[in-house]
Amino acid sequence: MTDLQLLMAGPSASRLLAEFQTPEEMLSAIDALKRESYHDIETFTPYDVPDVDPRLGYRRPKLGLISGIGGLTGLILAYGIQWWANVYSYPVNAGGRPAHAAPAFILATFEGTIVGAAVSAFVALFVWLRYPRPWAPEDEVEGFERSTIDRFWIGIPSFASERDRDHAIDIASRNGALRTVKLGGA
Amino acid sequence: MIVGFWQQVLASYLFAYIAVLSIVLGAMLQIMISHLSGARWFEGLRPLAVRIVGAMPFVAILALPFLLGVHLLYPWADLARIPPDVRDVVARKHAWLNIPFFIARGVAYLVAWCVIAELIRRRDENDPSMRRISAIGIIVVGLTLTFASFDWVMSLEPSWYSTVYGVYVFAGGILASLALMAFVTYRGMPNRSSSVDPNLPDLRAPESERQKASLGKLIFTFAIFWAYIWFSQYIVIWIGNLPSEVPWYSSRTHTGWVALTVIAVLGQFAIPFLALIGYTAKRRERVLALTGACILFAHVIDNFWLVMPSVFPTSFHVSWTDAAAILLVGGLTIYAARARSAPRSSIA
Amino acid sequence: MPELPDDGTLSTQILSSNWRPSRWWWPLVALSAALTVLFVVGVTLTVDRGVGEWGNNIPVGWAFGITNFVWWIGIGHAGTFISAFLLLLNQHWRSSINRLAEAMTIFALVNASMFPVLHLGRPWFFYWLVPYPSTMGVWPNFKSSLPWDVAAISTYFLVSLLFWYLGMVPDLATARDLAPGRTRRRIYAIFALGWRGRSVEWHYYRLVYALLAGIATPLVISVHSIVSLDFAIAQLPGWHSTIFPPYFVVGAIYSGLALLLVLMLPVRAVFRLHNVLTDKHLDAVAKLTLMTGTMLAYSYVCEMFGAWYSGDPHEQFAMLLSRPFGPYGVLFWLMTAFNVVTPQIFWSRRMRRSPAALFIAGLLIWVGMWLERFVIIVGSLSQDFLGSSWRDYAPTWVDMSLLFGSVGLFALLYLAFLRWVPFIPLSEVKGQRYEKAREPGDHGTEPERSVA
Repeated sequence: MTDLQLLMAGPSASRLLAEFQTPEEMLSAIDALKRESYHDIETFTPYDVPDVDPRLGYRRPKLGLISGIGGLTGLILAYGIQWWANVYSYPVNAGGRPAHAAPAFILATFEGTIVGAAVSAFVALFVWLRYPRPWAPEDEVEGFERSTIDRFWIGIPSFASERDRDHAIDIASRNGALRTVKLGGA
Repeated sequence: MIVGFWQQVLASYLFAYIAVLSIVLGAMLQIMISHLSGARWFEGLRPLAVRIVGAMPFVAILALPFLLGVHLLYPWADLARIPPDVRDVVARKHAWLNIPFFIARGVAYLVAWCVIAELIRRRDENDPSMRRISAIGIIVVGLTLTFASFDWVMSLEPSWYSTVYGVYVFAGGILASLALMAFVTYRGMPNRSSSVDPNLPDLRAPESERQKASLGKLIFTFAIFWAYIWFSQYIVIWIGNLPSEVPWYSSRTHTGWVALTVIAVLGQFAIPFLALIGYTAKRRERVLALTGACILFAHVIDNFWLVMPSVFPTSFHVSWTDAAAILLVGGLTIYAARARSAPRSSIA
Repeated sequence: MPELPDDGTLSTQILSSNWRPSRWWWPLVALSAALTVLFVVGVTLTVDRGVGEWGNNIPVGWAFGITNFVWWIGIGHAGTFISAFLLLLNQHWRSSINRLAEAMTIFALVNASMFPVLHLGRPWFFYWLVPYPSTMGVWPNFKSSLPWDVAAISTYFLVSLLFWYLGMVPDLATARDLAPGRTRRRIYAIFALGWRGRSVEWHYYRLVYALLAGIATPLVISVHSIVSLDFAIAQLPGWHSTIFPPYFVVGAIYSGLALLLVLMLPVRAVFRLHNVLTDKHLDAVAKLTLMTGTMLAYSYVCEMFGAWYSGDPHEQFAMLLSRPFGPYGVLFWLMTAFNVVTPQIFWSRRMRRSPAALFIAGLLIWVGMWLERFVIIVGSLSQDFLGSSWRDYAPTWVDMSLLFGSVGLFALLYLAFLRWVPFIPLSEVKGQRYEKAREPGDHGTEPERSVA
């Protein structure tokens, strides 16, 4: 899935959830599902399992660009404020140093760049993940909260037909799913 | 100020020597740091670093010309050559800046470096004693490199001093040695796109990918570190504006020498920073090789910038001896490194 | 190395300290609260009656206030260093201690930021340090390091807070899902933002976290460099030295590592976290302490030599006579003993893994670094260029109550953190265990062999 599709998909409303006890079983289930052409998969894990991303086809988001623009904004603002204050608005002879003291201005400018980069990255995260999300459909499932403790879940948001969904349940069970849960309407 | 021919020759020789020496010592420090940190990514580059370090005894011998020419090269050797307004200050340093002690110190530094270089060469990388040797070696090289830079380069302007000078030369040396390793390892290679998904942490990448990524990150980091030390010295002296300190910088920023200032900073900081900041860029062979070459060139300029404006403070001055010196010293060192590395692998 | 239990048991083990305080908690809170009250008294007197309540005089215009400021900011740096810098170096052992370290940073910054405001004389005008269009038409002078400080410290505080909080979100979610009691779950749920461990969440989170780590690292270096420039931009002998920026940065990390040892060892003992904060972690922190201590000693050598080599009689006097043999000579030698001699015990493997040795060394170094800042600041100010201007400095009880009170405030905040916030990065520890199980022997850069 591209970033755009991820964004457009909005909060996931999984129509099928499958619970696994170990990450290995979850991964083998994902492989099996992908072999049967179920591509729209997501997982819920208590920690970052690195093998998940390549299987789900996520691509690296353009965080560097966003942060870079934020940093550049911070840089321009910081230098600009210093220039305005000490060169244009009210220049003061401080010990004979030039009014436009570029080496001195660099330091606060550096800090401004950092603030811009950090805040823009943080805000971007909130936007991407649509935080805060106090409720999601998965929360209705009893025991789902173990996804942050010690259980690994797979979610598939949509199916072409009921037969596809049942087939997916079949695959999950054959690969070690402790249980499968159907969510939402038909 | 009239500069005699032999003084010019020795100055050229000195700049070339420091440029090369700092790279060799940088490689030495790299090896020792890798032993202490257990860095696995360095294993592929270690043989190259050891080859560079293997040239150390030869580099030590190459110090002879300027050690013998101390009385010609260094102004403090003859107080009459010092301008009268700072003569007192320099005279007070006589306990340190006198020819016999100077040469004795120089010999001591060279001996220490040769000993450590041979220890590194002769011990296997998995030898457990290497950790202890590395820990002590880093301290020894750190101190000797610092004092060598104070003695051999900083005392060219004996009324001036900077406490961070040793760190500056160290930073330049480590950056240049990393650049050399990147250049030698990856030159001539086309860019291969990483066969591993960039989302994964480096641990899962094959050895060569990890080596590339780590080398790219280290060059990026040390370029920033070098610029940080450069700026740290500059801002303190610029803003303090003390007459005893400022002339060193005014000859490097207010005369024709300013061009070199710009080139050194561009080549060792701005270009590597922009080239290596991208995630994939750090991992591309051609980018690493070209950035390495750029840094090496700027490193030579940087050392030229350290030495020459102290000899010719009022205007930019370059001579054929400069080019000759760098080719001579650099070429001989490369030859020595190659020559010493050949037979070892055949010892089964 | 003791084996970690399965994820469920591990979660309960680590988070249970958040539901049930240990029996140490109340007595320690009482002690810290008492010291905090002392701090509040000191602050009230300073704001109400003025800086004259302090021992500052002319020429010693900066003493305890600024020493405390630099000390606390420095302590904060080790937290960011461990969290951010070691993440970038793929040093995976950092994951057990990083939240303890980052919390140390946040609370140290809370302390540190108070002192520059208090030393202002008219602290209610602190906002004049911020460039805003004022009716008086004046602006801060950006050629001075004090406005740089304002920029640096506010940036550092903000970024550290973001970084610390972001790191916590997955564990706050686990706390939300494990906590007994609806209120507790609700509160954790608010701060957990709705984290469910979705693949897409990890995907973005991992990246932003790494980016913040990458940003935090140069931030650490820049902040303490700017703090060092508070001194280095002056022409005072003993202050005007080009090595100050890297020297102070190294010293800062050193002092923070020392306090981290002091904090980590009791936490480990009281909460029985020996399987998570293992001998290897202690060993690694000890080695870092030794490394930064050695770099600090190197800086001392450069400083001393530079002062002599300068040939300047004022520099030579300040560094070689006044400091070791002047009115604060005792403090100088204590400082040298604590900062240079103490870490040498860490060459021995046994010492690196002995909690008692680590704790005592940490305390000594932590105090020694305060002494270093005091010696630099008051040493140079009390005996500068003109002999007739020399004047000794002695602290008042208000100074003392602010110093010890700030330690109390720090302790109080830290205890609150230990009580209510998941202080071990649970998801990272679990993830580490998974990585190790998958690829035995390939841990990137874990220090395994010993030196001794």
